[in-house]
Amino acid sequence: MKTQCRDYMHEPLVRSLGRLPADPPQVLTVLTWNVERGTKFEAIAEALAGPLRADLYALQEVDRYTRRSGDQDLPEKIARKLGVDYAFGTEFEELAQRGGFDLPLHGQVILSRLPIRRARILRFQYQPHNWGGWWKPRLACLQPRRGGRMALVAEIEWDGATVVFYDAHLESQASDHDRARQMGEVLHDLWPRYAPGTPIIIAGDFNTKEEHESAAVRLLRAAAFDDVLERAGGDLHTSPKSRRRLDWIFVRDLAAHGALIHPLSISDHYPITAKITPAHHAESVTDGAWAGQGRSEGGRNES
Amino acid sequence: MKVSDCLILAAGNGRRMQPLSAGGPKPLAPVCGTPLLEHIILAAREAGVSNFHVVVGYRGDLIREYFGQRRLDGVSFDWIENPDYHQENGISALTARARLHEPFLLLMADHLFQPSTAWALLQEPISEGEVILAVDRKIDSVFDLDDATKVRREGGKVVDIGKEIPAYDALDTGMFLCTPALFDALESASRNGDGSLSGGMRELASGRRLRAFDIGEGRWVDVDTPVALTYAERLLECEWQFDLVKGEKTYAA
Repeated sequence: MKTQCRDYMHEPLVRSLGRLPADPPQVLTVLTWNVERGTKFEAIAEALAGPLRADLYALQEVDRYTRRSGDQDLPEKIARKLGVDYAFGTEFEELAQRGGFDLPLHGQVILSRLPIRRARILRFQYQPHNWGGWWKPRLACLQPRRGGRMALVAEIEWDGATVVFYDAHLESQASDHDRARQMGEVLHDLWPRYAPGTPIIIAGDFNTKEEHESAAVRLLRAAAFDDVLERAGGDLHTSPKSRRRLDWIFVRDLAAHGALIHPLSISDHYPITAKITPAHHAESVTDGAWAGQGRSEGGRNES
Repeated sequence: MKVSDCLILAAGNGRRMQPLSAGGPKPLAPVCGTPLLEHIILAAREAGVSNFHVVVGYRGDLIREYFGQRRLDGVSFDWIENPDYHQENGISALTARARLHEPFLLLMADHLFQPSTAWALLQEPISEGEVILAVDRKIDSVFDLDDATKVRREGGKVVDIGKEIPAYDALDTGMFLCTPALFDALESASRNGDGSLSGGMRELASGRRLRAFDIGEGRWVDVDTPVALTYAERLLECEWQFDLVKGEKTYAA
């Protein structure tokens, strides 16, 4: 597919490759993972198809036709490997990564075993860092880019209802307050669009490097969203390098159980998974239900 | 006399703001990435008050939790629950009666203002039994005039107040310097079937105890609709005390 023919900055690429389940699952497994451009594609795809198998995946930092990632369409390859539908949203065109005919893009992917009814890109109006100034030499080491941070939004059909899934990547080269402004745009986006009671998931790499709880996370809690790792104790960092919690899954009008951080060394971020049920099913699902999967509530999967 | 107490009414659920706060309380709706109520508290703190008595109702748990985690230097909170938050705002103000025995600043959780406006109001001498209302005579420059509360003044006193009054020469900015006499006026109005803050103000006005304070070139905005919120973001971004909030965000532990 030739990306030049599409308005790749404003429209996500949506492909249906999956064999949709005859009976929708009663429990959704949701994953978020910053895959560090997907340069270790084989290992990432193996993990996503195996121990990290989920129904909804939010990936960040996925390359499409970049030289550094082998000039491959990674979203398509991962989706084919998993046998799922997907939406890819462009965060940046990588100006120093052209390897072949197609535009080198970098962005977020939502992969789904359930039908993706609609997808769109919420490009943040507030972009505190300029990645692509005209003065910047087109050298790969300087990472010149065109575009901006965004959230990829997909409306997923689940058992006759709609689940709204935001895959967000907030600016890394900015302050806590700057990232809160971007998260504020996510909230401003969803409130007028989705009626109260609509199940919403906001997942992604929020780049929350602060020692204290970040302003972006406080905004989500203030808007009645629940962190899926709320009840987990201990060290919850998702970045082995910074030892900070950069990655999150928040839900509203849904119940989360058995959330886990998986300390895999494939990327510079650890993936998080969580089991999601409709809010009114919450009391009928006990944490013991997940014990059979060999995972402990709030713990880390050492596989 | 230094005024250090501030009463903020943050109990309502902001029905018209539902498109921008569905499920969450309106005072926590983000404006430039910071909750509306935090903007108001920081601006009031900059003006010189430090003891914040905040009346909460709808999803008050989330508001308290937010400010429990958000440590703001120079700010102490006294949370007051109003279980009847669906009633008019004068009822919310009355729930604070037992906590306030000296003059205090009264603010709405959805009216953004400049710290310099509140500071100037706080410098006004106030007599016993009196309330001073900050008013804006720049009627043409206000956002959403139809929804604004209008006032008519005579000789520095407010003589009429309401959204539908036939003649007016200024607008209610939602900022008041009060003595505890406010509560008597609210109770009297409530007994007469009007539980609104404006009802209490009309009681005071009828006794010529409601003074007008002209905010001059000061700007304010009632963030009551999604469009007003967008307008407020533009004001904050382009003209106001945004550095105040930004500094707090950047440096607070």
